[in-house]
Amino acid sequence: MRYMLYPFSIDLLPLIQSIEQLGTIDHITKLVCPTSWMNKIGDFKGQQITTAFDDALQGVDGVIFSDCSKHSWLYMDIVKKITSCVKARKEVICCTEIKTKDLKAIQTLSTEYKINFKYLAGSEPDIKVSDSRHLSREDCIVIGIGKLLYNVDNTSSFCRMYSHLTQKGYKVVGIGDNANYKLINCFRFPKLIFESECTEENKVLYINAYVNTLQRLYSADIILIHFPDGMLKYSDDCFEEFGIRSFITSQALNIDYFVLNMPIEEFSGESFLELSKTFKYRFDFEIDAVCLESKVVDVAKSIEEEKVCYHFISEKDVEEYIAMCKSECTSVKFCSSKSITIGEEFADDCISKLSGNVEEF
Amino acid sequence: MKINEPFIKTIRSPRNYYFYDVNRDTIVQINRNIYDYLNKKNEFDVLPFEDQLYINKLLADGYLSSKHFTKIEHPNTKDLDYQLANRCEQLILQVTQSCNLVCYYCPYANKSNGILQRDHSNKMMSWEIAKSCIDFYAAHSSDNEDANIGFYGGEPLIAFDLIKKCVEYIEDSFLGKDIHFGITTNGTLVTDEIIAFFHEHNFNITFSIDGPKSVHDVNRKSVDGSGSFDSAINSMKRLVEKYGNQAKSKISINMVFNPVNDVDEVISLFNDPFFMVNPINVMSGLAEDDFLEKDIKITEAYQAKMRYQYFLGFLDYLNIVDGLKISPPIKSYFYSLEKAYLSYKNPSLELPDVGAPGGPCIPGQRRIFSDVNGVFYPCERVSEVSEVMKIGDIRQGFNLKKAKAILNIGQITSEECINCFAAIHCKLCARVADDFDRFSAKKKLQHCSETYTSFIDELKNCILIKESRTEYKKAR
Repeated sequence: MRYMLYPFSIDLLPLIQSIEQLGTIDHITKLVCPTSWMNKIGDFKGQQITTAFDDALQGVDGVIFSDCSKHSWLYMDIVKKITSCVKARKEVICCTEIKTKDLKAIQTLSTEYKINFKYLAGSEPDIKVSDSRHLSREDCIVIGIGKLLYNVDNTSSFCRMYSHLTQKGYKVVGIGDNANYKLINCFRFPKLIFESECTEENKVLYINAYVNTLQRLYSADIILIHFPDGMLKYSDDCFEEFGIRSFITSQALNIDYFVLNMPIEEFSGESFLELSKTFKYRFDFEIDAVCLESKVVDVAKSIEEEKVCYHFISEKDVEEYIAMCKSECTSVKFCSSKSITIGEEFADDCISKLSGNVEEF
Repeated sequence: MKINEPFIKTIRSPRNYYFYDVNRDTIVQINRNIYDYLNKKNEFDVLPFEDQLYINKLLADGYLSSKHFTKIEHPNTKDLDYQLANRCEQLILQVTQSCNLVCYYCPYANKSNGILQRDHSNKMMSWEIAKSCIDFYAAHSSDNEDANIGFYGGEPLIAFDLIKKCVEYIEDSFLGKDIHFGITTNGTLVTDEIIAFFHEHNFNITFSIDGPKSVHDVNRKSVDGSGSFDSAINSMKRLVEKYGNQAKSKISINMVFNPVNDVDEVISLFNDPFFMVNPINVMSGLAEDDFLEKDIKITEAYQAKMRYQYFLGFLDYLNIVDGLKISPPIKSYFYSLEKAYLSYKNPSLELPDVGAPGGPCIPGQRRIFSDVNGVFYPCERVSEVSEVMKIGDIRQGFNLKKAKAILNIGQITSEECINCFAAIHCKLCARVADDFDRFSAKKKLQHCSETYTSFIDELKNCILIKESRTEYKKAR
């Protein structure tokens, strides 16, 4: 089977490479992005990328629609394109959430056209919280992957670590923050954490039960889990959800190794030790590794718009910053989000840090 | 002990004494002794011991610093080329220079024979120019998640066919971005087709309405002298009905206050039950005379009535009197005042060595205003006959040198800005210094007193808020 992926953005590249490495989906032969995203992709030469959806559709057997809940304005375009794919008798794998009414219409249409419509943005495994209401400590290593602020990408560190650890022979259960990760046989973070009807206490218990159940079901050696939202608030005007959901997650799990994704900051390498201490007090784990994205907070614009805004910087600047951080702070591992060896470096660091630890019952 | 000349402004209220600290950008309450000391009315050595201790504590905490900028340079000067290449936020297309109205204070309505500002003309933007502008904007906004495109005139709806063509093209070429369309209209040409089109493409619409019929029709009339109020308000009401719940965020009024009008009569527009049921956004400002040959005089009566409106606004804002009717323009002032109040609760560390007065946006990055010929300006409010405001065009792209000069307008009055305690809250941009072929320091400095007064007013109002939430509250 040959697949096309839409909408493609450069952030999805690590995921696509993981799909290829792990062979979870036959072949993604075409990457199609919305017209205005092409400028951002720029001179990327790894694969053939196009904006001509209809032309690309001719040469494939199926289409993967990636999760674009962050780009809600693309919703109508996605629904329209799914419909045209079904009518063109192409298989559809859908990671983006579709409203019930539209979903029913698409399912009816796919039945009519006898097309396989695989909806990955649906429900999660049905996990029951036990009546005893206690937290269970996981019977495996738990690696947390968080982002300092809301709009930081954490796909690279997650996918590359997941692929590397899996290829090394570990049984890894990945829990990502959107349905795209189901393409590499991972699970999605339980939606319950976003529901207001559930008490905060029950959310903690549910996440704990969810992770433990998956560990037992799949006999996992390692749980790799995304923390939802940002970890901290940015300022009194840019709350970034105050890091509340990250705090809830931290209370549900015992994190053995933590990777923080963040933009380039103005602070020195030594400041990461202070930041790590803050994390220890607040979340009960320290920062083991930092994955740096090639962007910086645009302070003036963030104040004006009351949301964290960024501007992009060159990869050379990132490398210089990383070199400075490495020289000033040796206890934290630093890597660029663009580095293809990030999975190897973080995974190996994690194994070496945890090897030899007393294996408590 | 003698402290170096602190960079502060002392202020007093009827009950208390304060200083505004420029370096920490906050307000500090002090007692009478310290107030007098800071105003050089007494010596440190004669202060009571506890006051001396308090001053030392202030110094230790970074207050009363004498630090000034050593050089005026806008912080975005160094990355201006990046900003203009990747981060342009908005494109405004002047789709026509034609208008079906001749408004009293409109700078385009043949007020200066084209010397201070261009006049109305029948020039229309061609599709080729519009398309090139859209392509230019697309190429220069790759790092933005949103795309904002505005249509401006003249009266832009005269060029409705071009607007339709642009919207179709933009929706195609900006697929993947959160697209926002906006238009400013006098509301006289709105048809059912236009209403349906605006709704379908989720337009933000700003109506120019200056008050009730008796006021609006004096200012905004067609060439034959007939007023435009009835058709404008009717169009707005039809659009509000069409937009339903979305109307509040998508439809707004831009109200220009002409000081010759009676303030009470102007704001009586909002007594219309329609506005009670549909609380749409209102932006307001004084009619500007920069491009008019005759000055617009601000009358005593106007000032007195406006002050009374702000007084009522305070009574409402501070929950002193219930049930007051506060007009939307006054409400929006208190919204911004609350933001300022909160910002003074978060002190800064200190002034940087190199900085610039507040005021200028990043020209071309905040918006590209393209005239019908594809010449770029930093916004629609500047003179289109001014050479210094032309920051590029569709053929040559941005003129970085000119954009940099506008961004660094503070440099033409460096000495004054370095020593001005209101500099970081200044709201003056290059527009006030525009002398058509150059920037004039003299012109800019003429506006300093307005900035100075409005900043002092803001500080005093913030102090009033603080006192009314603490001391006066207890008394009540």
